[in-house]
Amino acid sequence: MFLLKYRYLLFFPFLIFVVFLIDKIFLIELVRDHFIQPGGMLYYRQRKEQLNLLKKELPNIEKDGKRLIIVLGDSRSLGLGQEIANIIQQKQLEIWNFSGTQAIPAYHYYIAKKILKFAKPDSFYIGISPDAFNRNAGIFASPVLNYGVDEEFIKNYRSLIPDTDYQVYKKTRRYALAGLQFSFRTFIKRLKGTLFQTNIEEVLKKFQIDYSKLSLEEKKMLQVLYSFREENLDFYDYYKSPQRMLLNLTKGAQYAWFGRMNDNELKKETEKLKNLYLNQFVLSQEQLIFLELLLEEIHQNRSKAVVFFPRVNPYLRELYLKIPEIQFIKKRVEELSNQYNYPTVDFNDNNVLNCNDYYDASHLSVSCFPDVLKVLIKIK
Amino acid sequence: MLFVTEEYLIFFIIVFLLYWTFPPNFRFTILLLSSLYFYGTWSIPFIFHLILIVAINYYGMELWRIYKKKYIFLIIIIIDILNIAVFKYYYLFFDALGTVLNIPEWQMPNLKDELSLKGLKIFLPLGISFYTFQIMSYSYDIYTGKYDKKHTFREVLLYILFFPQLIAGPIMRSEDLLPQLKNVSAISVPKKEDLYHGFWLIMIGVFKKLIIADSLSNVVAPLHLSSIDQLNSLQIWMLVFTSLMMLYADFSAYSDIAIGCGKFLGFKIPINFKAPFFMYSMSDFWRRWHLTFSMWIRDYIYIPLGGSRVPELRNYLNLIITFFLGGLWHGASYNFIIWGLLVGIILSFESFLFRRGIEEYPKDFFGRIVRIFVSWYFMLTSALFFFVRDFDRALHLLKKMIFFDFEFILPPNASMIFYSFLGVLFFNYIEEYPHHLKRFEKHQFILQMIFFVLLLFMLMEFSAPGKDFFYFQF
Repeated sequence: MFLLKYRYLLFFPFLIFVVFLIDKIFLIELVRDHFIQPGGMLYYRQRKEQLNLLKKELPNIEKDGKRLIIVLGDSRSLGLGQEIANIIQQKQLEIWNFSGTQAIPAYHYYIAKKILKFAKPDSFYIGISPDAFNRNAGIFASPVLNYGVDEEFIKNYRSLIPDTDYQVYKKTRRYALAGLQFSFRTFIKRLKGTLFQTNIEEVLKKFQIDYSKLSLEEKKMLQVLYSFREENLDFYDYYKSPQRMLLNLTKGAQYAWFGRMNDNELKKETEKLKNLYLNQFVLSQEQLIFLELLLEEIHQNRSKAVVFFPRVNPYLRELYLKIPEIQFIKKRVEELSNQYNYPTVDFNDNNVLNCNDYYDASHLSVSCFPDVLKVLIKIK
Repeated sequence: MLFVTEEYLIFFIIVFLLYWTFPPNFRFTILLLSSLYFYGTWSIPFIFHLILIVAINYYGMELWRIYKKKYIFLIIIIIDILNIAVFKYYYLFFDALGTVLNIPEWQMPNLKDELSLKGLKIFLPLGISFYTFQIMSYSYDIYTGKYDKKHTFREVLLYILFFPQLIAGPIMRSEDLLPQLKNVSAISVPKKEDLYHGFWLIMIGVFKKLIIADSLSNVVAPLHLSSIDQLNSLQIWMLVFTSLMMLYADFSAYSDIAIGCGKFLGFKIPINFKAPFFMYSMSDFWRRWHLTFSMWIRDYIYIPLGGSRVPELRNYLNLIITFFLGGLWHGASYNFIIWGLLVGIILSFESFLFRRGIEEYPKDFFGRIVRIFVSWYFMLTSALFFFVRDFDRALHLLKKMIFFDFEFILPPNASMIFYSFLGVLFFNYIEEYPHHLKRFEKHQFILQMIFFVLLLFMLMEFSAPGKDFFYFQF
C-alpha cells in the first residue's frame, strides 16, 4: 500500500478529481446564470424567461384584443418584432419573438409546445433556413440540446436525436464549464472592462459637457450606453446583463443588425460559409420530422401558421440552388405546410421581397424587416 | 486510445492507482494487462499478431542461445522484415513492379481498390514501425552479445507492449527498458520532484498537441490542397516551416506525455528531442530530432554498414543507404524514399565539407548566420518531400521555392503561425537550456497550478478537435 505510505502519490489524481467535481457546479442553473456567455447561451436563457413574461402579459394582450404572433426561426428571423409592427402602423399586432441563434425545427417545436400549453396565439411565423437541416453543422448538439431544450424533451425525443449530437450534448454535461463554452478571451475583455472603466465625466469634459448638470435619468442612460460599449464582469450575471434587458424590452426581437455589407465582402463571406459547412451538406431527416410535429401541434391547437424562407444574399442563394439536398428540403417543407393548409413564402423571390440590404453573408439588415412583416401579415 | 483524450486520462489514473496500491509483485501483471488493453482498444486481432511476432523473436533467440547458428538469427530478422514489408510496403512494392512491368492492375490505387472490394484490404497495424525496430534491436543485441541478460517471454512481451511508448516511441533499447521491467517490483516510488516533472511534461505535451499541433494542421492545409498557382514562394517556405513546427509540436508532445507517464510509474524513458530548431547543420539536426530513431539507425544500420571507419566515398554511401532506409521506415511512398535520399545526400555533402576543414559551427557571427541560413534552406527544401505526398505537386512546389517570385503576401492565418513559432521557440529554449529553469524550482508548485488552470482555460478556448498523432501512421 504505497499510496498510504507515500500520500503525495495521490495528489495529482486527487487534483484532477477535485477539478472534475468543482466543474459540476456549472451544471446548477443558479451558477450558470452567473456565467452567461455571449451569443447563443444568453439568447436561449432569455427565451426561458420570456415564456414566463408572455404568460404574465397574456391577460393584457387578451384584454386589448391584440393579435398574438409568435415568431420562430433562427437568427435570420430575429428582426421580426413589435417595433417593426409599430413602424408599419400595425399596432393591433402583439409580436413575441422566440427565434434562437442557429435554432432548428426541434427547438421551434419545443418552444411552440411550451407556449401552446398556456396560450393560443393567433399565428406562428416560422422561419426555415436550409442550414438548420445540415447535420454537419452540429447545431442540434450545441446550441440546441446544450442550451435550448430541457432534459425532459431530450428524454422524450431521444430516438429522434442522432447519436453524435447526443454524445456531444453528454460531453457538455460531463465537462460543464467547457459545455458553457466558457471563453477565456471574453473573460479577459470583461475583466479589463471592469478594471479600467471609462470615466464618463472625463469623456464628457472633452465635449464641454458638465456631468454634474445632467439629470439622474440622463446619467443612467449614459451609463447603460457605455455598458454596451465596454463589457464588464457584470455581463456574466444574467440578471445584470444589458442584453437580457434589451431582449426583454423588445419581446425577444433583435434590431442591432443594421447596415449593408458591400458586394465584395458579401462574396468573400459567402465563400467562407460555403467552406465552413455547406461543402458537405448532410441532410438531417429528423428535423423534417420535428417540423411536421410542430405543424401538427399548431394545427391541433387551431392556431394559424405561415412558414417562410428568409431572404439571403444572391451568392448564398445561388449556392443553395446548387445543393440538391437544399432543393429537397424546400420541396418537403412546402409539402408539409400544404398538408396542414399553412401557406409558405419564399422571401428569396424578388416578386415577394425586393429589399437588398444584407447586414452580412447570412442576415438581412433590419431595414428590410418592415417589408418582410408587411408580406407576412397580408397572408391569410 | 489517444494520449490526449479523457479515455486515456481515466485509463492512466486507474493504472497508476492500481500500480501503487497493489503489492509490488503485482506491478508487472498490472502493466502487462493494461498495455494489452491499451493496444486492444485499437484492435484485438492485432494483439495476437504482435504477440506472435514477439514470440518468434523471443523463442528464436532462445534457440540461438542453445545452438549458436547464424541462420537462426537471419530467419528471425527476415521474418521481422517480411512482417513489416507485407503490412507496410505491399502496395508500394507492387506499384513499383507494376510500373516497371506496365501492369496497371498492380499499380496504385487500382490494387488497393481491388483488394478493398474483395474485402482483403491490408490494414497497417498501429505502431508496427516502432515495435519492429524495438524487437529487431532486441534480437540483434543478443546476437552481437551487446545485451546478454536472460529474460522471460512475458518480460520481453511487456518490453514491446509497454503502453507509454508502444505506438510512437521513444524507441527504447533492450538495455534501457528490460532491466527496469525485470526489477519492476523493486522500482522505487517516484520522488515528489519526479512527479512534478512528469506532470509538467504531460501538461506541456497536451499543450503542444492540442493548442499548437492540431491548430497548425489546418493552417498548413493550403500546402496540400490549394492550387499551386495560388501559392507564392514566401507562402510555400512559410508553410513548409509551419509543417515542421506542427510535426515537432505533435511528435514531441507524444514523447513528452510518454516520458511523463513513465515518471509517474517510476520508469525512465529517454528523451526524443533536444531543441531541433536550434540546429546549425543538418548533421546537428539529426543529433536533436527524434533522437531514439536517429540513434537506432546509427547503431543498427549505419555502423553495421561500416559507419565512418571506411573509405570516404563508402562512408557517403553508408549515409545515403541509412537515410534511404530511414525514409522508407517512415512510410510506403516514393516521397519518403526521395526525402530519405535527399537527407543522406545533404549529410554526405556536409561531411565532405567538414572533412575539408569547413567548421560545422563557425566561430564568427556572420559565418554562423550563413551556416544556419544554408542549413535551413536545405532542411526545408528536402522536408517538402516529407510533407507533400503527391510527387508532382512536391516538385512544382520545390520549383517555386527555389525560383523565388518575390511576392510578399503572407499565407492565411499568419498570426497563428507567428504565435506557434513563439511557442515552439520557447519549448526549444527550455530543451536547450533546462538549467535556466532551475531558479523557478522553489516556486514549482504554484507555477504548476497556475499553468494547470491556464491550460484548462486554453483548452476550452483554443483547442482544435483532437486528431491522431502524426507518427501513428508510421
